Amino acid sequence: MGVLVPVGLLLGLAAAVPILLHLLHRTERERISFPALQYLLRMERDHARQIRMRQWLLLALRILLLLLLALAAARAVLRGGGSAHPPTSVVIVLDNSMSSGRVVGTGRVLDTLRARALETLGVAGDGDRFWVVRAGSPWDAVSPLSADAARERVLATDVVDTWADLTASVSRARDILDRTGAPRGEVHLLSDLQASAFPLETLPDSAPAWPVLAWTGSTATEPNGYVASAVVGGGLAPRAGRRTDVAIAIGGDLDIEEERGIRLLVDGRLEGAVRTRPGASVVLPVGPFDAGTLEAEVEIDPDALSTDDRFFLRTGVVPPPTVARIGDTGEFLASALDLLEEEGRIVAAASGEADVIVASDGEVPASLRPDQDLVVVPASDAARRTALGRQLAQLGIAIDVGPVREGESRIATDATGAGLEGVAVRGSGRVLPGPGARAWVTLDDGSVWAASALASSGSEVTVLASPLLPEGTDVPLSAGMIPLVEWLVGRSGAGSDARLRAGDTLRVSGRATEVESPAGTRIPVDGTLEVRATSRVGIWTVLAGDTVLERLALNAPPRESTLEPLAPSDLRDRLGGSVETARTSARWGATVYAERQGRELWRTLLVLALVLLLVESLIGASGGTEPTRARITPQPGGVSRSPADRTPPRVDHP
Amino acid sequence: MPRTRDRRPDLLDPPTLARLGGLELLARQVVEGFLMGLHRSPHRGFSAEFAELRNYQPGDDLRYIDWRMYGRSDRFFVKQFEEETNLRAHLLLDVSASMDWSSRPGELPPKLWYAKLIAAALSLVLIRQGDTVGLTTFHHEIVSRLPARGGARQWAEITHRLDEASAGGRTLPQTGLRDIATRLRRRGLVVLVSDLLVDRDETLTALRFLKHRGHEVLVMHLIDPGERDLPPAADVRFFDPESERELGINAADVREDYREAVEEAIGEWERALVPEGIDYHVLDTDQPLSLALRAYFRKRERLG
Repeated sequence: MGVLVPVGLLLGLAAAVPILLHLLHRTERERISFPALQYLLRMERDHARQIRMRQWLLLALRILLLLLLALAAARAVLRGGGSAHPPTSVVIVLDNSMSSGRVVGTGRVLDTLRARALETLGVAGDGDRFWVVRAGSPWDAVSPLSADAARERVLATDVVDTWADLTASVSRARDILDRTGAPRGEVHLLSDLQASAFPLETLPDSAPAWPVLAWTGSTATEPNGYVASAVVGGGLAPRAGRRTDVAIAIGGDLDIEEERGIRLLVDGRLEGAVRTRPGASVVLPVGPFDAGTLEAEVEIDPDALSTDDRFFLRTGVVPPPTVARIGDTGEFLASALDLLEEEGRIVAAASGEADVIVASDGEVPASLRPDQDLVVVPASDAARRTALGRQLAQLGIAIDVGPVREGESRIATDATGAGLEGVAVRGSGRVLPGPGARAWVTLDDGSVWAASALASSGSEVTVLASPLLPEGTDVPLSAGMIPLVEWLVGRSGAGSDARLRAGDTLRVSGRATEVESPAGTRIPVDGTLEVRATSRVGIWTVLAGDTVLERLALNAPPRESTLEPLAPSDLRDRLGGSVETARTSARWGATVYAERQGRELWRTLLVLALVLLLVESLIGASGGTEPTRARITPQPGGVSRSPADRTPPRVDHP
Repeated sequence: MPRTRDRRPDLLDPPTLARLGGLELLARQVVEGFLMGLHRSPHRGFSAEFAELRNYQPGDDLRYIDWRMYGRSDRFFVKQFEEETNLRAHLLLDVSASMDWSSRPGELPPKLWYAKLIAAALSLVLIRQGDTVGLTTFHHEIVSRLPARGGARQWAEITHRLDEASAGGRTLPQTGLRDIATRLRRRGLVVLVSDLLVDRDETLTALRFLKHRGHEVLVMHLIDPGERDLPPAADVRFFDPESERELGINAADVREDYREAVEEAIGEWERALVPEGIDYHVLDTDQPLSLALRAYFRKRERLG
């Protein structure tokens, strides 16, 4: 037994009233003349014990009645059942990421998760507050809600095609509870508990105070297959009029032996088809294509989770650029350019006519045509590097070249699409991008290794931090060398959007006004030039008014395709603090609101109070009903008590 | 019926009757009204005894034709009645303090007022019938004693004594009863008018003694309606104006028990008196006087 409103117990002090009245009346009763006292004495003599017992019973009933009312006012609860609980702040972390769209039976996982959330809200008390954190939509603002508003928000939650970081979402939920200052709070984690949704890098630093109740009844047991990647031309943009190929990797459980059909559709037309098992890769030859943009889609036979069964491709089909070389390009850069030339991907030309000039060893042309791009590969020599900086400044390029430094670094980020992450750079210099310049490759010490900027002529100039020689970097020895060189001379890699995933933040140019989703929804671009709500896979369009600036392919995040659940026992390690789990609806209903105190009893107490009142009335009436009108009336031969025999009018009591 | 009641003060309720006038006037009106009603009642021949037969004459009441004589002689004879010998009646009136109580002062007359009116009315009836009537008022001792006589002057004296009588003292009816038993040499009718808030055993003994001496006894037990039911006040201390004894009690809790106790007490009086040949009548003081007169006439009827 407990109470929700302890102050209501003060009403129990009223129980003293009947006792006080009883004691006071013993000494302060009104004194009235009553000649028929002998009848009273007779009655008391005959019924003394009965009267005393009845009076004590009435006193006890009245005290009990007041105590029941006090308990009802204090909202007494019976532990062990029911949902009554003190006011609680609850953050519902609802996993609406891509994997929650998995179909189980006749519904989706999200439907089950929403049902649990609605159960939580269904037993909410008046003082409860709710927050609904959509784990798959971290860009959503979260605000405190009433139970009804939270119910609407839960029902309005739909599956998005993004990856959910549940560790981060739970941390966010705990931060919310920290900020509320509420005495009681809970985090309800409603998810399919993919192990991939609990990255180790977001582990909480210390054991948080707020308890987590995690639903474990929707974990996946079936295997999932998905299109892990699809690469056109080995990462190089297809050249106009030349055949190319698409390498398709199928991800999924290697235990799956059943082959699945794979289809390649280009502009809606079937270009190729093959069957293979998850874990395998296939290459489909395609083309040739005219110069322009190639948009393709790879799909496999759908399974329970269908969003990752499609993969969108978008790349440019470009004519081979004309490239001029000035200065000593070095053996490796020269070989790469020769290879590209042999493959027909570039065409050699004089510097005055070339689309792109590759300037090596500190040589820089004095001027550039507006449509002519420049790739600068600096020398190792410090004096030449200093001179190069001055020359770049003269061309109006906001990039400087820093001195060579000792030591080894590794490439941390590579936005060129060449896949250079982790490649070592030794004794390297660095570039110092100025205003308006863009860094493409950065090192793990934070310095920039490759950047580009527009020259005053309008030409785009890309500057590397070190020569492409094995003495300075492992890049010439890596598989990314050829793609990097092709990207440098033609900006024609597999497309800068090749690795974009739903949920990634899109960075758009300053001209962009809106971004249109694959479903046709337009999202305005604000001053940050970033669009975070990329909730769908497919082709996104960056618009400046009605003019298309760019089209980008966003695909399913591969981590969402790995459905293997985290063991419930590991949840505590990943989330820290107190973690309870519930696998069934009944268990969930019994576990929510950890501090609840049981079934609320005020209705029962009021009914009992009414019953007591009735009993009290009956007992009181048995000793004190209103006077009846029966009278003893003289009759022949004796006494009659028949009131009907009286003819005269009767005087009623006042 | 309202017209009949207007002409019959004996049928009026005491609060109404009390507003009509003084004791003598009221008693006279009550008796007149009661006798008027009595002629219409089926009770007849209450005060005369059969004496002889005489020849029937036109105008005689056919009810008094002796049909047996007609069968034997083929002539009509009418039964001749003669006046009854005088009855000596004595009224014994309780004027103890408890009699001066009304549960609704100012609205319902006290029991003593009711008792005086009964005594006055009975006296008038008795004197009109040629009987003699005496009056004794008492509480714990004899207050006033008026020997039995007849005539209008006796009734005037009785009403005067009644007017003067005031309540006081404790109730000891055995005092008056034994006093009368020793003084009345000739057997007669003794009418005790009291609220009987007395020592029951002592009173019963005195009444039986009176009966043993050959007297007819009529007990009129007066009860104020407020003595049958406890007052509406819930938690009070009741005190007896005669003995000053007190009892604190919650009236609401014992109301039904009290009512049963009153009924039981009345029943005990009845069970004790009736087998002894003593007439016992309970009269509520909010009831018309005719009930008391009727009780007397029934008794007188049996006396012949």
